[in-house]
Amino acid sequence: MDLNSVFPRELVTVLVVLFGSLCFALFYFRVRSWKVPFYPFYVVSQRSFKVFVENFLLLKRVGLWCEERAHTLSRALVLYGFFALFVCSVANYALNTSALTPLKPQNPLAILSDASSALVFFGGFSLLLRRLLNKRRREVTHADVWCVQALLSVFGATGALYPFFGGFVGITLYALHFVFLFLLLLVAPFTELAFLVWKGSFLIYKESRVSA
Amino acid sequence: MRKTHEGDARVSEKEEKEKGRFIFERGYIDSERIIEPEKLELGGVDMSGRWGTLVLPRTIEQFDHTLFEEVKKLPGGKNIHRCWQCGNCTAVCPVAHAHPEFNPRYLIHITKMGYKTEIKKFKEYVYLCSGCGRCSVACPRDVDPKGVMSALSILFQRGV
Repeated sequence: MDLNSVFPRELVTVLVVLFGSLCFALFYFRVRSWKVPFYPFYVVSQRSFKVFVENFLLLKRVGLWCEERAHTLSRALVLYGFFALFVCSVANYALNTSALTPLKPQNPLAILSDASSALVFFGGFSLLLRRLLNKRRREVTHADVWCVQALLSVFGATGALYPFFGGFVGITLYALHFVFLFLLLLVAPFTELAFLVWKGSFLIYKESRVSA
Repeated sequence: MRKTHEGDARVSEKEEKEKGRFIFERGYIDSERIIEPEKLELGGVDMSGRWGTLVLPRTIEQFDHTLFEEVKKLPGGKNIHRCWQCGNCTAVCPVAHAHPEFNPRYLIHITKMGYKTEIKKFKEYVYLCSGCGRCSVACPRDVDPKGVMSALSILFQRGV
């Protein structure tokens, strides 16, 4: 059974764009419901690039005061894993036009995608485990946090595993990988991630105005 | 541009230090409450100089509970009224160790009190919160200080 015939490339692309746009719109409306300005496009502007790289990509803000290394590392794994997976997917879309999935094992993009998914899984799962193993932390964790961390873990796990399986199992894992991605995109704007995105873009906007 | 900002900050810091420097235990008085008129005459007697230094009384004329009520409406701040000021949140906060100006216990206190001048003074520090959540784990009253800091960040931006 060929994966491309079950899930045509066009269908997957349309769904990803659709859910991505929906996610962005939900983020925007959620933040605007707090009656505060939102600066999503300012983050990608040239003026704020240095602040963005220093504070967020190099984890200056997250890692600076956090004494709990495992927590910082897990956040970093999720961030870098997701970023790398996004880059790999776009590169694959641009280069590998004939056969999108399953990627051949010898393809370097396949190895990178697989490694990125594994990073997301390890990051998400260690964040989840950190909360599960501590009673008090379990008590104060809200449902939205459980939801995001669980979705991140299963999204990463299915993405890392599906290239190793053929036939029905591979196709099911591939489908689940996308189902979890779409669920994550729908759920994320209603979790504390919305606040983090807003605060992150606001701080970049503020800091780049001061340093300009 | 940054140098100019830092320069301005240094000048104002120097002025602050100079202000009311003759007052015994000056550190306990906010600079805004010290008035040093350049020329002061009372009943025909020239009182200019250090004799003319005035210290305004520390009275709070109006408590504004708008911010407190707004914080309670946001999901992260709904338990703010339960805080009994134990200070566990500040004790475990890694940001407070690096930046003593960021004090979650005190921010909650002045929000509950509605102490406007203090809120004005400390509101910029709210954004230092890194969201690690250690305070929420340490809180014995389920206040969720991390959520309160998120709520305050939003409300300060809204201009409440």
